[in-house]
Parts: sequence; C-alpha cells; structure tokens
Amino acid sequence: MSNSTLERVVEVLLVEDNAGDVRLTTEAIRESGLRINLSVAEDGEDAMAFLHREGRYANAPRPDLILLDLNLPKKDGREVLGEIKSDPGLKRIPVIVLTTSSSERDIQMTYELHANCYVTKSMDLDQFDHVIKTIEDFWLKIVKLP
Amino acid sequence: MKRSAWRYPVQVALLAVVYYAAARLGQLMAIPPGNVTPIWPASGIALAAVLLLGARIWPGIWLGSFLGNTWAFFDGSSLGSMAVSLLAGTGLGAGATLEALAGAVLLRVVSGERSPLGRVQDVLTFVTLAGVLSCMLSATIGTVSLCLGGFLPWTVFARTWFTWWTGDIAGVLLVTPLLLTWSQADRTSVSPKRTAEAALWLAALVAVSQGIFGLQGGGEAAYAQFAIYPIMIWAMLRFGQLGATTGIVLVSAIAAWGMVKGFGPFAGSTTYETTLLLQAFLATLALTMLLLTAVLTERAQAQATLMESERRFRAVAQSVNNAIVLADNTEEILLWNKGAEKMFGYREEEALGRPLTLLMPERYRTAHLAGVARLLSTGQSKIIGQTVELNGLRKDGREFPVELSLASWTADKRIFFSAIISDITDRKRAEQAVESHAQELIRSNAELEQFAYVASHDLQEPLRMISSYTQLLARRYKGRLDADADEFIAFAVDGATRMQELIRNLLEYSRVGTKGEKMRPTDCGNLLGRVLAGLRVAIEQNKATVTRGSLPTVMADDTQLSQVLQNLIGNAIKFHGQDPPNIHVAAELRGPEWVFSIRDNGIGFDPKHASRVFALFQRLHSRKEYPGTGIGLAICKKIVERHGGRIWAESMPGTGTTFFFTLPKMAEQPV
Repeated sequence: MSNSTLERVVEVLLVEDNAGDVRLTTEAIRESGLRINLSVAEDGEDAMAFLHREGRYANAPRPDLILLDLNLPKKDGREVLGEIKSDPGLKRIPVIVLTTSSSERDIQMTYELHANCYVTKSMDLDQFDHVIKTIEDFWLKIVKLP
Repeated sequence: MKRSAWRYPVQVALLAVVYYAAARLGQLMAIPPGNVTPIWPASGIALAAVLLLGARIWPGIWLGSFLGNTWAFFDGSSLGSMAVSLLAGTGLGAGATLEALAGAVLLRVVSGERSPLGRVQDVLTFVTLAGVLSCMLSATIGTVSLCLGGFLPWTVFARTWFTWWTGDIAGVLLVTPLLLTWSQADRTSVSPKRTAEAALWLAALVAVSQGIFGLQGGGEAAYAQFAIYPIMIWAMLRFGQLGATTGIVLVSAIAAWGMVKGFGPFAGSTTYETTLLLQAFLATLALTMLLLTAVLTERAQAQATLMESERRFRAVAQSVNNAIVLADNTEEILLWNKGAEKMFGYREEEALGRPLTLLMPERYRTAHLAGVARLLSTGQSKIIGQTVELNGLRKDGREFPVELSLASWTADKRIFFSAIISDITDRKRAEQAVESHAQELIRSNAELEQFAYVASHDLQEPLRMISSYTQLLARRYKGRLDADADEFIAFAVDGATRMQELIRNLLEYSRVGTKGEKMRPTDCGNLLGRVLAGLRVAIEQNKATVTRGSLPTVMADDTQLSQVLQNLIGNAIKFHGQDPPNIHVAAELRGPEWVFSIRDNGIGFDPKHASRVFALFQRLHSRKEYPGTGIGLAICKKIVERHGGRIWAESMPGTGTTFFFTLPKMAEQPV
C-alpha cells in the first residue's frame, strides 16, 4: 500500500494551554517516529488566528489534523470546534477532542458539534502514549485525508 | 364456722315465729264465715324474707303458715278430723310458701337486683307481679284446701278466695316495702333535730289517724280519711322511703284496729263490704305513696348523677392546662377555666359575658363572624369538629399560636360552642427549628457534594501532570541515576497512582447524590442476574457459589442498586477464607420494608468494626493483604440511604459476614 501522506511531513495543530500536556504530546509524537510537524496554539483565539493565517500566523501551514482541548482560556474549545465546523474552508479538517472530562454531556455536545472523535486524556502515561499512537495510526496512516 | 352453721336454722326458726305472730295478728281481723282476713301482713313478711335472705328460707314460711293456720281451725275431736286439719294446714303452708317464692322470682326476673321501690317502673312491677299475680297462688291453694277439708262450704268459695287474695295483696303492699326499706336503712346516727322532727311527725300521724279511725259511729268520718294524706306526704318528703313505708304501716295498723273495734269510717265492724272499703283505701294510699316515693327517688338519683357529673366536669375543666371556653350563639363567653385565665391573661370575671372575638387578632374577626353567621343560617361550618391552628390574642396584646378544637351543639334552641385551646408556641418553635435544621442540612449536603465533585474534577488535571511526568521520569531515567533515585521515583509514581484512585472514588461517591437516576420499579431478581454476569470472571476464578432466595420488585435506581449488589457480592468473593466462597442472597419482608441479606463464609471481621466498615476510605486490612481504597461500602451506604433504607453488617471472624440492607416496600404491592 503506497500512502502519499507518509511521503511528506504531516501538519498537526495542537490546541492546548497546559504546557505539561503539550510536552507530553510532543514526546509521544517524537517517540512514534512519524514525520509530524506539530504546531501549538495556547488558547482558542490563538487557534482561530492560526487557522485563518492572521497576524503572526500569516505563513502558517494548513493542518492535516487538529487535536483540541475543551477547556481553554479566552475562547473555549467548544466555540473553537463550532467555528471550525461551520467554516467551509476548515470543516474538512478532522478534529480530535482531547480532554480530561469524561462527562456524558461533554461527549454528547462535542459530537453534535461534528467533532470527529472524542478521547479522554489518560492518567497513565503508557495509556496516553497509546492514545497518541492510535490517533496517528488511524488518522495519519489508515485514513486518507482530503 | 360454728356461727354460720347455726345461722340458717336460727333464721328459719325466727321467720316461722314471726310469721306465726303475724298470722295470729291477722286473724284478729278475720271475717266470718271463712276466717279470712282483709289484711294478711304475713304474706308481706314472707316475700320480704325471700327477697332479703334468699329462696332457701322457705321452710320458715311454711312452718309459720302451717302453725298459724292450723291453730285457727284445728279440730281435735277425732283422729280423722285431726288428720284432715293437718293436711289442710300443709296445703295452706304450701300456698303461702309458693306465693312468696313466685313473687320473688318474678321480681328478680323483671327488675333484676334493683330495689322494687326505687323506680316507678319497678314499683309497678312489684305491685302487679309480686302482689296481684303471685297472691292468686296462696288464695287459690288456701281456699281449695279449706273447702276440701270441709272447713268451708264450696258455696262461699268465690267470696273467700277474693278476700284472701286482696288480703294477701294488702299484706305485700304494706309490709314488704317497710321491711325492705328498714333492712337497707342507713344506720348511722341521726341528728337530734331530725329525731325531734320524726317524733313530731309520729305524734301527728297517730293523732290524725286516731282522729279519723278512732271516731265513734263513723258516717261523717268517711270524709276525714283524706286528712291522712298531708301527714303521709310530710313523711315522704322529709324521710323518703323510710317515712312513707313506716307511715303506711302505722296508718294501716290504726285503721285496722279502728275497724275491729268498730270505730272510724270503716266501722260497721267486720262485714265484707267494710273490709273491702278499708282494703281499697289502704291500697290506694300505699300505691300512691310508693309511686310518689319512687318518683322522688328517681329524681333525687338523677340529680345526684347530674351533680356528680357536673362536679367531675368542673374538676376536669379547671385542672387541665388547656383553655376551655364555652359560648352561645350571641358569642358571649359563658365558661372560662383556669387554663384560659393563664393562657389569655383575663380573669374569669373579666372574660365572662365578653364576646369571643376578644380572644382573636383583629384580622380574624370578620372571617370568624361570617363563619358564625353561616353556621347559624345553614348549619354548615368549616371548622366545627376540626382541629385548626391559628393565632390567639392575649390581654396584653401579644399574639401566640394556638391549636383550637371547636365543637357545637344545640340545647333548648340555643346553639353553644365549646373551644379547647392549646398554646402551641413551644411546638411551633420546635417545628421551625427542625425545619431550619433540615434546610441547613440539605444545603450543606448539596454544598458538600458540589465541593467533592468540583474538587475531584479539578484535582485530576494537576495530578495527571504529576503522574505522567513521574512515569516519564521513571521510563527514561530508571537505572541511569542511583538506586535511591529509582526508589524515590517509584514511591512518587505509586503515590500519584493511589491519589488518582482516591479522587476517582471520591468522584464516584459524590455522584451517588448528584447523578442519581429516577426511582423505577426494579425487579431485583433480574438485577442480580445482570450483576452476577458482570462478576462472572471473579466468580469463576475464585470457584465461588452464589445462591439466592426469591427477590422482590422495589422502587430503585437500578444502576445504583446493581452497584450495591456488585460491591457486596464482590466483597464476599474478595474476602474469602480457606474454602471457596459460598454466598447467599435473600430478601425478607419485615413490616413496611424489605430486608436484603448477602451472607458469606469468608474471613469475617470483629463486630466492633461493624459500623467503621461503612465509613469513607476506611479499611480493616493492609493494601498488601487486600487491595482497594475502602470506598465500596461507603458508596453502598450512600446509595441505600438515598433509597430510604439502612445498611448494616453482622460478622464474626472466621465464620463469615452477612450484610443487610433495607428498601421500602412498593406502595400497593401485593404481599
């Protein structure tokens, strides 16, 4: 199976305000050995600016995948999700909601906002790695992205 | 012993003597040709004897009658005539005895143990049954005996029978009441004043009787006999039954004596007609007096009963702490007890005659008056017969909460209201305190649950950092630092992991209250099936046996209830002893609730820990022996209590543990 996405660097945008989580994600991606270019937005407004290539993000790449935390400063993750999915230029980008919340209500709501999947952040490092790896395998190896 | 052994024969003998004397006395008035007397006091003595001493006294009557009568006509001229005389005497004695026994039995049957003189109805019973009816017995048997014996020609049978009969009736009416009354008379000492009055009355009676019945050649005296009535009424009013019965006998004695001596209105001596007149007069007098006395007695008794009841009511009304207030349809206060004085501050004289509205705050008055008006016009009321809570108004203007029970009744076309009022200030205060405590508790519980939920949620985020990075540290640097560092990192990882566990448990615990579902009818049998399916791996691994009794359907949040069963059965498997776990689940209806039990044969625990096991994060074993945080039973307790039940455990080390919990029985559930 020849997969064109493996030929080039995959662009991933991580929207996350917690530096600890950013680092964990970075580490997990590094250990996976995939060619991924990870960009980080620290809040909801930052994320929208990146996606719209505004201000200092004028030359930002268009991400192949977005990892979105729900609890964000300034603009909440739920609003970010809503805006992405209602923007014709952005709505095709798969959004994976990553959060500590395991509440039914959050899960329900994010799927209604057309999140592509919902993943609870694990307490266990091995499990966290596993989650990241699975995301990469599924979205970056198996699925053909637009 | 000895005395009572002699008592009966002595009584019989005495009665015989008395009867004999009375018979002889009666025979003084005997009317030819049959030796039958117009007043036969012996019949009255016989009846009184049976009534007072019982039926077994009868031999005294027979003996007295036999002797008294045989003496009158005994014919000793030949052996044959002697035998006939004795036979006739036996017959007469039997007649007198039967008469007394029949009279007494009839009285007891109709009037019971009551005195025959106490009530009008009983007097009439006495006169008709013991007098008129019973006396036919002696008259019939006696007259037949005399005629058979040849002492009387059959031609005078009817006339003799009639005189005999009326003479016995007169004896019963005059003498029996006297004996009954005297035998029951109050023998306590009498005041000199009363004795003097009695003496004066006696003198008057004798004088008037002498005047009437002792008059020579009587024609005009016939009208004088009515003069006896005032004297008799005096006796009756002042001395009651005793005076009346004594007076009757005295008047009869004097009248009879006058007749025999040829004086008074019944002179003309011993002709049949005059004796009838005397009998009629005495019977009328006796009947009138007995009836009037009964009326008076009845009234006196009714009055005494009424006074006693009034006295009792007063005592109750005055001694209770409640206010008792009585008013009529004019709204005027008619009765005001001590309790009302204390409660409202008005003294009795201040309250009587004042309107009821005095006792209520201004704002109730219009509604009250409207209610009274409605009651008076339609007979309908919202609060009569009910207990209502409202405010009362004290004399000093203070309002206080009261509980009021109102009743109303009609007497003599007036409507009366009675109110029993309790001061419920203390009760209200206590109710308010309980209510505010309950509110406080609800609020603080809600706050606590909110706190636990938020804390455990928000604590998770930083903890995940600690946990993840210590794990990362361990992964990358294990063996690259020294042995101490490896151990420290291991402890940090373990601590963080445990803390996560605790927080997750706390979250779960707080969710019992905040995330509970609605209660629905839940078939516990099905539920247990699902729980056991979930525990299948644990059951198989531990070779556990789970048996069950029949389980009811109850109102429950099935998710939570299954968690209870799962925790309890899970524990029973986990804390097993040497033998494979053997677990029995059952439920039993006790009163309004089902008692569920989960019994195991596990290691058990010391009963002193029985309540500690349900506390949050309390454990009886080290984590090395049995893993776990100690949340399971705390969650069970919270769930059971949310369902309105209780949970407890009974256990002995080595013999196993039984956990019990209760759930309310479903309404309208057939047992």
